[in-house]
Amino acid sequence: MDNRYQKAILNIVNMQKQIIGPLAMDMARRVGAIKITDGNVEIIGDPKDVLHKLVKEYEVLFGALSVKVSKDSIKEMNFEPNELPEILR
Amino acid sequence: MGRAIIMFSLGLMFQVLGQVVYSYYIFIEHIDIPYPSLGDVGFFGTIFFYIYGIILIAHASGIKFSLSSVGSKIQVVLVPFVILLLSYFLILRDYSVDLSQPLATFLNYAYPLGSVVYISIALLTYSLTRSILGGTMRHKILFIIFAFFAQFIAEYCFIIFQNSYYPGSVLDYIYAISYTIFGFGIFQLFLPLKGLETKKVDGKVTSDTVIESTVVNTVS
Repeated sequence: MDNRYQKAILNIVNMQKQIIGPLAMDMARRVGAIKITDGNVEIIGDPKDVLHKLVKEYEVLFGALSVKVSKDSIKEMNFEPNELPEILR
Repeated sequence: MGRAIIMFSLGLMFQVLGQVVYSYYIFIEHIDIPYPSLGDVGFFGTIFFYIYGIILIAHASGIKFSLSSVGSKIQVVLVPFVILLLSYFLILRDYSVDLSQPLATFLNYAYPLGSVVYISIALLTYSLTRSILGGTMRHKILFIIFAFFAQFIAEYCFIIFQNSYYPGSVLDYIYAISYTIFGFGIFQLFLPLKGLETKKVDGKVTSDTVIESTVVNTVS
């Protein structure tokens, strides 16, 4: 699997952690298709779909702000638009 | 967010300290409240917790995303300036520097100015993030900002009308309302965060209603 998606998930979670603290990790685990242990990320299924679900999870709390924070956290990673879910383009 | 809740809680606790000390002077010692006194440790100490707490809320609300435009930068200057002007015309212009009572003089200026700082940040947080802040936390954060406003009103009313203060006066009533609003604000800020925590059941990490499978395959 392309490690960039795992790095993207870690970046998003760490950025959200700065706002909501350890709860960010709990919310990432709620996605179900993500398993985070000791800084390692396992993705189950389509990584684009998993990214979408992760951002939607955070969007419940802070709305457009959470989406913006997520986008901000991966903007240096040079994803092509078609590599990202629509919510992160 | 968690740290903000802690700061607000500590700020309220310091208010309680101030109120308890004042009550001691009034109901136990039966004397006029000295100024400054130990109660001012509580009341003045509150300001630092409130300032730090509202800074954390501003950060959580995404204020940094809203600071790039010229309009935002104008607001950052204008809002504190207007509140400072208000503070000057209502309170500060009647004060003079009395070096024979340095602590009292310091507190005379520090109380209203400290309030200017936290209410400015609160108002800026509202005005700069209202277009971007959404989700379940939006209304809860707005309520906290309103709670700050209530606290600000209570403090300024006390500073302005302190010469006519007596126990059980309308000033106490205003403070009681502001404390209630603030306490409720903290509680409703805390609740959704608490509800989203995953729980551990029989050693397995679970979400609210679903037990995650412990056997997963990573798709390569």
